[in-house]
This record gives sequence, structure tokens and C-alpha cells, in this order.
Amino acid sequence: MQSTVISNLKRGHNVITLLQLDAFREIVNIGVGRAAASLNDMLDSPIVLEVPEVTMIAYEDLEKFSGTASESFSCVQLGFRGPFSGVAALVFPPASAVKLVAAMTAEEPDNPGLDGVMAGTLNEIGNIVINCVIGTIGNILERPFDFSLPNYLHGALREILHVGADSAKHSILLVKTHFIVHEKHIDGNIFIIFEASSFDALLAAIDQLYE
Amino acid sequence: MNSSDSGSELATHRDYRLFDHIPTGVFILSEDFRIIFWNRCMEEWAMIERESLLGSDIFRHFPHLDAPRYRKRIADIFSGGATTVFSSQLHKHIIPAPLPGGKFRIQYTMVTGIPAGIPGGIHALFSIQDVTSLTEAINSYNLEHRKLIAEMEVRKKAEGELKKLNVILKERSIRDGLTGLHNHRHFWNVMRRDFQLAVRHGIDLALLLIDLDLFKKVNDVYGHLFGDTVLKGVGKIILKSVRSTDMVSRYGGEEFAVLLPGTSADGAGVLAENIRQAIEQHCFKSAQEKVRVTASIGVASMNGHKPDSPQKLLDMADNALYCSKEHGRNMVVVYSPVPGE
Repeated sequence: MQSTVISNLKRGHNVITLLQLDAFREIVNIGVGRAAASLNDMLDSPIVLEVPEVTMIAYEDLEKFSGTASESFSCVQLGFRGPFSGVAALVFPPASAVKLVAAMTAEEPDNPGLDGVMAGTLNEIGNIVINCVIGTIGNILERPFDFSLPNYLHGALREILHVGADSAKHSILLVKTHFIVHEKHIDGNIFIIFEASSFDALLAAIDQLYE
Repeated sequence: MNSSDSGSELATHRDYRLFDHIPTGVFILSEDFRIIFWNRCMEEWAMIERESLLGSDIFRHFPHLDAPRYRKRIADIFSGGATTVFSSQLHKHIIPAPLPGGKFRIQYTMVTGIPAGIPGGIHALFSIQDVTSLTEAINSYNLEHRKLIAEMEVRKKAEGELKKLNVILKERSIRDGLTGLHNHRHFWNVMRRDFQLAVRHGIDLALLLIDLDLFKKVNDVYGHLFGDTVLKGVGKIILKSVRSTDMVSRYGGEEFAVLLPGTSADGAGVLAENIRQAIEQHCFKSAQEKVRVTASIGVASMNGHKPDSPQKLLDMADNALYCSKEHGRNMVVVYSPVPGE
């Protein structure tokens, strides 16, 4: 399909059309819907998962999300390999991470930070959300992935996302997520970092889908 | 199950035996949720021999795994989903593994899809970490943390109470227990300070010495309890007559001293007369009758006489008080160098 580029969202090296972005938004929303269903199976308390925004950001834009130098983030990562490869990372600022775990387990945290047990819970929640989002992309585009083992990290955003030297060539999709549990509102961001060449493959697959 | 299936499963079962040598619980499910491998570690933890499990439905042995929260996520693995995590906080025991003392191992589980023998087939590999000691360490740390916080609260509260107590003690150390007026010791502290201030700044300082007349008789006739009531009452009358900057103290038994900074002998004389009248007019009610008391008052001030010490000022007021007693009591006498003439 030769779609007209209404507005070039030129970020980094890739150009995504509004149509492609819309398609991607739809796929992500389906994935997040599945994640919410899965979380609801697991928890006694109902949980609402919203995606207020799906957008492309440039590598430099990551700075905007990294907070102060001392701020540590909790991050659940999943590497994927296949026709398009990269890493998906669900990132929570420290306060949100504690709030989310406290709301999900109905336990008040003893410490202001996350301990190892709480980190395990966050790992599982993040794992469910990311698996559903990436899994849905693979399913809908009919391109199965190989996945790495889930990885839980805690630290400065730049270190967590350890995008290499050629990071400027990466395309980053930002999926803003919003959890509502027990009337508590918690924001997290999913960064899906595609390796340079794979992003074109993704766009091609999306185009094919809507042909 | 047919015989060829079970034959290939036995073959894979042999391939998985490497997992018998790692200290992690490992078991593998085929796509129809049958157990096709169960490692030695799982045998130890769950206390179930693998021979009794192999080839059978996992839900038959562990029915809780049939709940959607487990079953759906395991099914996702068979359809090519990414590794799924069951954390120790949200699911304490995927496979119950009893420990001595009635507790169970706390488990952190990952389920990963692995290629099955047949092309395109996927088996689910469960690997279970024992995080009992880690969890217990964190819990006891949290417990200690909570205890410390609680202890700090108690200490903070105790410190606050100690501070309040110190304020009360300090206040008591300068007060007379009966009348609540300042005591003799505090009178002298203030007297010395005010005297110095008066000298340095060249301002006047007046002193009243008020002594109740024939007070011994009041005690003897109406009792000490009533005597105390009178002393308290007189204290109140004096307090009501003075300014907030003046200091009223109980100097001794039935004697009161009033320090009046910035007040001349004339001004102090007028004030003393007001106090004398107020005491005289006041009616104390004993059990039997109404009682009236009177007071003699000696007045002295610094200006004009330049006493060279606080004691001298006091002597002057005492002198005037003596004069008042000599001349029939219930009167105010202002000190002059040749008193009583």
C-alpha cells in the first residue's frame, strides 16, 4: 500500500505515517486489553489498564523520562528476536513501582523502597503486560518471535535501557500505560526499542496487514 | 495415549536428565498438560517420585493449577508466548513443597516454551527457585525496621514528655508551693538583676514589703488550714493590683515582696495604699464566721537614696515596714532617711 504521508513523524532515521501509527496503536491496545484480562484473573481486586498514548520518540527524547540523576527506575524487560528484533521495557519511577505493588498485594510497604519480594511482584506484573503487548504484535502481524528470558532491572534509565553505540539508529515506540487499582492511579511507560533495520520490517508488516 | 507417543516422551525424558543435576526445581509439561519430566530436585521438594507422575495430567496432582490465573498463562506458552513469571509474593507455592515445622518453600517460578520433539510443538519448562531464605531475611529485616520505627516513636514521645516535665520542674523551682507566687530564692535572683539594670540605665526601682498584721492569731484561732487560705487570698489580691512587669513573691511566712521596676517611691506608695485597702476590705470566710485581716507595708525606692546593693534596698523597705508596725500597723510607710520622726 502506498499511503500518503500526511505528516512525517520523522524521528531518528525512520518515518512512520499516521496510518501506520494508528494501526500500531490498535495492535498495542489489543495487547494491553489481554494483559488487563490476565491480571484480573490473577488478582482479587479489579484492575483497569489504559493506554493514553502511543507515539514515536527519538533516542534523545529518553532524557525527558529519566528524571533526576539520583532517581532509580524499576524495569521489566523482554528481548525479542524474529523478523523484527529489539527489546521491550516497562519502566516505573520508584514511587509508582511501590504504589503499584502495594495496591496489587493490598499490603502497605514497610520501606519506602522496593524490597526483593516486591520486586518479584513487579517483575510478574510487568512480564504479563509486556508478554501480552509483544505477543499480540507477533500474533496479529503473523510473525512469531523468539523471546529472551524476562529480566528485572533497577537503576538509572539510561543504564537500564543500555542502548548501544549505534543507539541513534534505533526506533523507539513509547506506550504510555496507566494502571487503576483500588482507585489508585499509577503511570508506567513501555519503551519498545527496535533495532534499526527491523523497524522497516515492522512497518512493512503493518502495511501488508492493511493492504 | 498411544504407545508411540509414550515412546517419544520417554526419549525426551532421558534427554532432560541433565536437569537432575541442578539445584532448581524443574518439570516439563506437554501441550496437553501432561507431566513429561520431573527432576530430582522436584522429587525432594514435593516428596513425590517422578515415576508416579510421568505421563499423567498435572491437574490431577495439583488441581489448583487449573484456575485461569495459571492455566491460561501456561496455555499461552504452548501457543508461542514469551516466558512467564510467577512471583513469590503473588503465588507462594506453585507446587507445595513442605518444610519441617509445617511451613512450605516459597517459590519463584518461570515457565518457558521449549521445542518439543515434533516440529512446531512446544513444551512448557517450569523452573522453580526456592526463595524461602531470601523472603525470610527480607521479612525479618522489615520486622526489625518496623520495631526500630516504633522504638523511635516511643523515644520521641518520651523526649517530648521529658521536655514538658523539665518546664514544669523549672517553673516549680521558682514558685512557692502554697500561693503559686514566686519564691524567696527567685525573688533574690530577679532583685539582683533588676537592681543592676536600674543602676545601669539610671531608672528607678521600688520595693514593697507587705506583712500581714497579727497573723499568728489568725492561725491560732481559725487553724493553719484557714491561715493558708488567707495567704493564698492575699497573694491573689496583690497580683490583681500590680502590672505584668512587676514581680510578686512570697518572701517568708506571712510576708510578701513586690518589685516594681521603673516606679518611683511616690507611685509605689499609691500602689501600696491600694493594696492595703484591698486587703483590709476583703472578707475571708472561715467555717464559723467572716474574718478580715490587715497588712502593714514598707515602701522604698532607689532614686534619692542610691542604695549600693540590693540588700540595702531591702533594708530600707524593711525599715519602713518596721516603722509601720511601730505606729499601729495597717498602714503604708514610705522610707525616708529619718523614718518615724
